[in-house]
This record gives sequence, structure tokens and C-alpha cells, in this order.
Amino acid sequence: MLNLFLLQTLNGVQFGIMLFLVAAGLTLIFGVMDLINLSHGVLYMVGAYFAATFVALTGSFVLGLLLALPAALLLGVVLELAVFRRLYDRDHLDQVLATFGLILILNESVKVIWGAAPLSVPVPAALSGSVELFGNFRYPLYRVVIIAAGLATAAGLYVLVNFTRVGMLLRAGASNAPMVSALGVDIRRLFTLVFGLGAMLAGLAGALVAPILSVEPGMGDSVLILTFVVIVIGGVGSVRGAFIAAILVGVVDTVGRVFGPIWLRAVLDPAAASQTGRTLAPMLIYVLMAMVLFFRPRGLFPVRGAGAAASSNVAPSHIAERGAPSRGAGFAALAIFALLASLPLLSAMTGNAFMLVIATRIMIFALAALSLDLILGYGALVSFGHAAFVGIGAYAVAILNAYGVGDLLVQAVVAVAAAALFALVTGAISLRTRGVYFIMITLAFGQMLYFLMVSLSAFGGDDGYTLRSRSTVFGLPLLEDGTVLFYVVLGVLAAAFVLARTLVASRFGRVLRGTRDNAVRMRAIGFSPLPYQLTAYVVAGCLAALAGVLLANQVEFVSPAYMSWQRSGELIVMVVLGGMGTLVGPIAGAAVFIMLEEWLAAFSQHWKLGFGLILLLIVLASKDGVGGLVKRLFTPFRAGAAHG
Amino acid sequence: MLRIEGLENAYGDQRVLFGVDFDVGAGEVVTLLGRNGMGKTTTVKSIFGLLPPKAGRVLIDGENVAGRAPFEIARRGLGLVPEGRHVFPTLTVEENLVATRRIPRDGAPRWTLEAVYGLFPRLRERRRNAGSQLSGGEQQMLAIGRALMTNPRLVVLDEATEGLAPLIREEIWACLAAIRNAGEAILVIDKNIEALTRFADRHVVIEKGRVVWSGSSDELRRTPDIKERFLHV
Amino acid sequence: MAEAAGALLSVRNLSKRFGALVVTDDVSLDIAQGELHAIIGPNGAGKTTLIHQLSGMLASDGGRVLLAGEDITRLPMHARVRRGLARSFQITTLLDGFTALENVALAVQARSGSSFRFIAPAASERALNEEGLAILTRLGLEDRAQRRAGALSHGEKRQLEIAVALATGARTLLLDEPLAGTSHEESATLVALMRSLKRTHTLVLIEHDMDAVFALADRVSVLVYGRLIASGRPQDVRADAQVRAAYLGDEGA
Repeated sequence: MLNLFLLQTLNGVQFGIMLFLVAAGLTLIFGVMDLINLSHGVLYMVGAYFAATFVALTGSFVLGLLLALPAALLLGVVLELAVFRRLYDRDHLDQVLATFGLILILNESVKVIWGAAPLSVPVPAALSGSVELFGNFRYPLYRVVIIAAGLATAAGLYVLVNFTRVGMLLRAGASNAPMVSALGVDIRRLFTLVFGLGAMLAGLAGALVAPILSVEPGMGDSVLILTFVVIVIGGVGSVRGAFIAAILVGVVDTVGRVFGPIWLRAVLDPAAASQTGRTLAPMLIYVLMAMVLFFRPRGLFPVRGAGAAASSNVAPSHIAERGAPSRGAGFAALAIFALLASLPLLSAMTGNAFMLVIATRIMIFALAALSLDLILGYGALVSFGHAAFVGIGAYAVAILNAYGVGDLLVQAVVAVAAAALFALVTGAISLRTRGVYFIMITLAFGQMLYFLMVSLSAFGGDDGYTLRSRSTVFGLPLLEDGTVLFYVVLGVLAAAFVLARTLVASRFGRVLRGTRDNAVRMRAIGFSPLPYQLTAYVVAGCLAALAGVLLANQVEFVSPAYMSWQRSGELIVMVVLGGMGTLVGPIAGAAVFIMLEEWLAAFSQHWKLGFGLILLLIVLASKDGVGGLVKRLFTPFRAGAAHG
Repeated sequence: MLRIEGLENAYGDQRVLFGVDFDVGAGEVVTLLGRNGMGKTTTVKSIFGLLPPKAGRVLIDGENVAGRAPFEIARRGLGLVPEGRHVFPTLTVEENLVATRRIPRDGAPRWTLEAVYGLFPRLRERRRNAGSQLSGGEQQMLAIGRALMTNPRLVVLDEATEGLAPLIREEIWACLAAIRNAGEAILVIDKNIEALTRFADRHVVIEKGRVVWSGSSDELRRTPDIKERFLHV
Repeated sequence: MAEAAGALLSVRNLSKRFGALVVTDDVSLDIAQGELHAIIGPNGAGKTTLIHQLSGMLASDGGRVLLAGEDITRLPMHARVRRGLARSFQITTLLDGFTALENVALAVQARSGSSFRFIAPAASERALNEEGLAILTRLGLEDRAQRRAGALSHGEKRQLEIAVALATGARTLLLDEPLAGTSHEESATLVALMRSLKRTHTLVLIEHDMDAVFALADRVSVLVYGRLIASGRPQDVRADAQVRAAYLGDEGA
């Protein structure tokens, strides 16, 4: 038992060290450049692929590793020069969108180059086997080497940051980058250097674990989320914080997974203990993060002056409509709804039944995007976990369906109640934080729920779960008819639109909009923002849950993928592409997004590559951000409406 | 060495500078005078590229550097002591001095750590303290020392003694005199006109984003209405 | 220094430090109801920091702030506003995307019933708009009511800043350099307004315009390096040798 505990603790330390290597670069990039880089996890994946390729090529692990590192460094530098350099002056939202696009590009490129099948890297012969650490306790030699290499890197980083001129400039830059530049230091070169270094460290982590994990596309995504948790706990910009938090997260996660079920046996019967333990263990680190942030909203080691923590996520100029909803937007919505209402007729006339299926799907995601716009566009709250609420709605249908409760209204009520509760709890914690912390913490809460569903083996876990039937309405199987479903979805969307439009124009909505534009001003006239933001967060969550209820009904299938962070990212893309703070924009955004997806998917299985490129290019091409671009498109239309 | 021609700038749609012209010769001490909100700090930010000018030229040794990155401008021999001091709070005093140190290409640096400590003995005592642990006067000394360590030919001081106790002000003025005697040109903004007239060669008065008067210290003393019209508090 | 009794706003041994830098150094001050109390001092003396502490935007490191006898030292800014202590900002802080009228009406809304109302459009609530418009009219901004705050001239923004503070309904106002950057006419409007407010409001004024300060103030306090070096009637403060040395005399008054 003690040996098992030691073994798992060491495994946790080894895992934590890996996380640290990825987190170190990311936290520096946040701290010094105030850049939120979602694609940092991809660099970890690419590092593993580089290692796999070079090891196979040279036949030597050491040589392969030595080649993989400069390759990762080079990739980091190239990315910095080509992409990131253009993002430093942008708001966090643009950074999120651009790096989200970059993930799609790099993940898909890896599939194109190396294929989708996992690669494996052999553990070098000299490092295989295990060593006796103390007493009769043995531990795999390769893992010892990883721990040692990680600790050596951490020590090197410590020396670099604290005792070298570059380190001084890094710390100086983190508190005041323009001042460093005004004293004659080329801050851009420093940024490129930091970026390259961060990429190399992430690549090193990937290369080191390549022999003990399978090298596959998307392996960076889960690491990225954990890295966010690490950075948030440690304090954005603090390398020391990242180190301590990484070890903490690594150990808690690893030990919790093994010992959670064992410890639970003290209070539960073995079968229940193992089931509950397996379900709860993956959530442990998120609970840890929530607890840390509740008491210290800026992490354990907050870095003074780190802009990342304080600045707003959305530049006010990027909001398409800053007043109450305009009449023009209302007319646009009327036109869209009229067009949609006539669609079944059009579909029947042309004999194109698929049109209706796509339109239903578009409307469901439009509902989710519309709900996100309530907090993103009207609250400037960049929630990166909104898909979780869609998932709550979908799973409410699936679970009730499995227990024989098939009525749509009952399901909807349960879904909305569950979403409200989840929003209330996670919102109360998340809204205490600001800036990138808010983005990362909502992301982490979304992932927490994702892992909860993955561990629900009764509902198919990772593979998802097929519904027995669509929901009934007053006992009648009305929704089995696609046209009825279409009109139900249209009705819900239209009602949600009217509700949201009323809401943002009301007293409540005016406070929300005012807080978005200037929270200090709102406090100075006597408003405390939190209750209003939290209410909006709950309402948005409930509407998104309704989208989930409808989604489960349309596809008659639920899966944790509904609530993945990629889905949350897609919802943000829909809102931003359509026009933040317009309510009608997100509906158009959802339509464009889903049709683009269908269209690109018809071309190639690697359609995400094209999609990522389009997204990235849009962000880079529009100087005042995607929001600004959309706003410009909106302006003549609004002016016309105002004169007419 | 520094010549400003027709400098215009704005924050968003709010114009602040409407064509500022003046120059600073090698080894010369020039002041920028004017009431609050008249555009003095904006002029400094424009010179250093921290707020790129909307129009006009910033010439250093005859080369226009308007629109260049701040570091490129600083490297041509300008050292900034900004309003509010902006010492790096998480760096020690010595790190503040060393981090952005620059040694001129043409030989030995005039300003070394020893020279700066010689000028401000207080900084030597506090070399291991973090920037955030300094008093206002010490922060000002550090900001001046930090600029000197880049071995500039022109030191630009924005609000050299603002908010400092009288004794510390005197100390700062004495050090600036020492810097001038070492051959450095100085462009200084301050409200302490008495001290400035003792100390400077020429004065430039800015009112509502324009230069409304310029002349020598003697001329300033002989024209008391300048003080009353543009600097009167 | 006056006794706390009768004082509406009492400041007791207030302090604030940023690192080793003491910005508010043991400040004690009593401001009587209906008084216009000006705080003057050189730049960097800590005047704005003091206003931040009084308004609740910055937490104090020591000392107490009492409003009508109630200890408000630990209250957040919005709670102080609801107790009748509001402020304006030196750096204009408005809702740029909202109209001038909405900026004011929102401050009226904050004290007129719950804002957890979700149905009726706020922009067409007559009571809020009428009261808002009355305040705009008082500042001569009525013909700017429908213009976006961000599109107003600098001087108009400064006036709107005061209008919003007034609209909170607070009877004690902390005004941080209201005249900075205003034209002569705008200054005159604001000075006249402050004079008329003396009948109904208690005002704490930070201002660099000495003509305005000595014309308006009932009492003047001088803050230098975070310490109060003098406090009293304007003519006494003006004559104070220490004040002249530290501040006024220096600048050729």
C-alpha cells in the first residue's frame, strides 16, 4: 500500500513536471506579452511528432531528441514572426479566435503529414527497466530520467529568469514593456526569444513523453487545459507559481485517480466506491482550482503589474452595437425568421429534405450562439465553457429518456434547472476573476463537466449514447416528424430571441451593458456588477441548455463531444463572426459557420485545415479585430435603417 | 542634436498637439514649460515613439525618426526619465540599472554602475532592494540612473521633481547640474521655474499644444508676463 | 482641527502606501454638512489617492472614514454611493457608447427601485428620463442629451461627469479636478453650479484653478507628500507661511 502510494506520487510528480514544461512557456507568454495562446498545447504535440520522426530517422533516441528541440524552437520562432507578433496589440478575444484557428490548422496538418493513427516511440534501451530507489521500491528508469530532466530544466529556467540579463528584461517587460522599449531594448526580439523558448520547452515535454504515451493528433488539447489549470492556480506570469501548481496538479490528479476509489471504500460499498471514485477523480483538480481562485482570484503567486490579469477581454470598439438593440437589427431578425418559416415549403417544393435538417441544426446552434451573445456581446465576458450548458441540456434528455421520462417539457424543465444550478455555482466563482483568468476558468469548468460525462459509463462514456426515441409532447411522438421538429426549434429560437431582446433593453440589460462598457463607472453610480453578471450568466446557461435539449432530439444521440472546449470555441466564432452584441448576428453567424462546415467537409476530410486558415486570416486581416470588421459591415446597414 | 518640427498628436479623436517646434543642441539644457494638460508629456511621448506622432518630424542628428519604434529612437542617444518614474517594481535597484544598460559603440561608457552610485550614493545603499520598496525620491534617482546607464547624449526628464520633498528636490537639481557638467544635453519638464531658470540655457513654453514662447533664461527673467500669462497658477 | 461632532464626513488617521511609498500619511479631516472643502496641493501630493480612498475605490491601509457617524471604511464604492457619497473622476469615466441622457438616467435608475426588472425598456422610462434631462439642463447639456457621450467635446464630457455624480442623488460629492481642460465658459458654468450646489450639497473639491478654489471654498486643506500641512479658512491658508513655501509661493503667486 505504501509502495503503491509512493509509486503513484512519483508518477504524479513526473506528470506534474511535464505539465510544468508546457506551462512555463505559456505563463511567460501570458505574463510578458499579455497574450492568450490556446495553441501552446499543439506545440507539445508537435514536439512528440518531431521526436518520433527524428528518432525513427536517426535510430537514436538522444540524437532524435537533440534534433526535435531546435525544430520546435524554429517552429515557435516562425509562428511568432508570422502570427503572434500581429496579435500582441489585439484584445484577448481576437487572440482566442486566432489561436483557436491555429490549433485547427496544426492539428489537421499533423494528420495530413503523419496520418491519424498513433505513432509509438520505443523507450531507449539504455533507459529501459527500473531502478531501486530505496528499500525494495523500484521505479522505471525512464521516468526517473524524465523527472531529472524536468528538474534540471526548471533549475535552468530559474537561473535564466533570476540571474541573467535576459531574465531581468523579462521581468521588467512583464511589468512595463513600453518602458523597456523606450530605454532602447528591442522588445520584439525579446518576445520572439520568449516564444521560441516556450515552444522548445513544450516540445521537450512532448518529446520526453513520446516513449511512454502514444503520439497522436489532439494529444496537445487535453494537456493545454491542464496547463491552464496550472497557470491559473500558480498565478499568470509566475514561473515559480507554475512549478508549484504543476506538481500539485500532477500529484492530486494521479493520486486521486488511484486512491479516490480506495478511500471512498471507507464510506461506500466497493462497487459504488469504484464507480463514484472513477467519476469524481478527474474533477478533483478543477475543484482544487475553484478553491484556490475563490480565496485568491489571481492565483497563488500573483505577479504584480501583469496586464493579463487586469485588462478587459473585449475592446469596446469591437462590440457591433453598443446601445439597446436597434430597429434595424429587429427588421433583419424578422426577415430571417420569415425566411426560415417558409423553408419547409421550399424544401417540399424542391424535394430537398436535407435542407430542413441543416436548417434545424443551424437554428439549434443559433440558439446556443444567441445565448452566448448575452454574456459575450452584452457582458464582454469571454466564456470559453459555454458548450457545457448545451451538453447539460442534451444529457438531461438522454438520462431522463433512459429512465423512461420522455416528455419534452419535463426534460426541458430539468435541463434548465440543472443548467441554472451549474451556472450559479461556476459563475459565482468565475465572475470573481478578471481578464484571462475568466477565460481559462470557464474553460476549465467546461472541461470538468466534459470529463464527468466521459466517466459516465452507463451513458456510453467517451463513445456517447444513442437515444431510444425523440421526446414526446403531451405523450404524442410529434417530434418524429422533421417538419414539426423544425417548427418547434424555430419557435423556441424566436421566443429566445424576443426574450433576449427584451432583456437587454430592460433596466437589467442596461446595467449589464453599462458594466460591459465601464465597470468602474457603474460602481461609482451605485451598482455592484456581480449580481447582474451572474444573472446574465445563468440566463445564458439556461437558454444554451434548451439548445442542448433540441440537439439531442434532432440527432437522437448524445456525446461528451457536445461540451468539449472546441465546441465552446466554435460558439464564440459564431457570435463574433455574426456580430457581438446584436442578437441577430449570432443567428447569421451560426448559419455561415454550419454551412461553411458542410461545404468544406464535402471537399476534404481535412476541412478543419481550411476552416482554421479562414479564421486565422480573417483575424489577421482585420486590423481592428474581427469585431471591428463585423461592426464596419453593420454600420452602413444600421445607418440605412436609422434614416429609413 | 534633436529638432522637432510641426509635431501633431492626439488621443483618439482628442487633439493634443497642434504643431510643436523646438530644438535642443548638443550639451544644451532646454526646458518645456506650461500648465497641466498643455501637451508637455504628450510631446515627450511623441518624441520617443510611445505615442507615434500624427504629423510632423522628429529629427535626431538630422534623421527623421518619427514613426519608428521606441527602442530605435532611444538607441540614437536619447535617455528617458518618464513622468511617474516607472521603475521596474519587481527588479532590484541594481537590476533596474543593469537590465537596460547600453554601452556606446565608440569606446568606453561614460556612465557605469560606479558612476551612477557615485552620483546617487543612496542607490548604492539600497542596491538589493526591489524597485517597489523605494521612496519617491529614491525612485526618481533610480529612474535617472537607469536612463544614464544607457549612456545617452540627451536625457529627457518629464516632471523631474514632481511630488518630492524640498530637500530631495535640491538633491535632484544638484545631480542634474552634475549631469550637465558631464556634457549631457538635457530636456527637462518641471514646474519649479526658479530652479529651472538658474539651471537651463533655454526655455520653451507650450500652451494648448503649441509653442507660444521660447528664449533664454535671461529673456525669461526679463519678461515676467510670460510667467503670468502661461505659467501662472 | 474641528471636532468630529457635527461633521458629515470625518477622516481619521487615514493612510495608504504603495510598496514603501507613503501616499496618504495619517490624514485627519472633518467636513461639515453644507461645506465646500477644497483640497489643494502640488501634483503627486496624493490628492486623487485620497479621493480614491474616500470613495471606496482603493482600500486604505489604516485609519477610518465616517459618513454621518457611520464607519464606511470597509464599504465598497457602490455601497458608499447608496449611502450618499459619490464622486467624479479626474480622468473622464463615462459610458462612451451610451447617450448623455442614458449616462445620467442610469445613475437615476441606480437609486429608483430595483434594477432587476427585465421587461419594460429602460430607455423609455419617463421618470428616469425626465429627472435625467433636468440634471442635464442644469449643466446646459440639454441639447446634447441624445448624443453619444464618446462623441461629446472634452469640456462637455467634463460637465457630463459632474452631471452623472449629481444624478446619483448623493448629498456629499467628491469632485476630482472638475475644471481640468474646460473652456472659460464651461468653467464658468461649473463654478456657478458648484456655488449653487453649496446650498444643498456637501462638496469636497480637488482643483488646480486657484481662482476657483479661493472663490468657492469655505475651507481649504493643503496636502503635500501625503500629509495635511494646513487646513482652515481660505484667507488663513493663503497667508500660511508653510503653505506658501511648499506650494503657493513656489509657483509665483
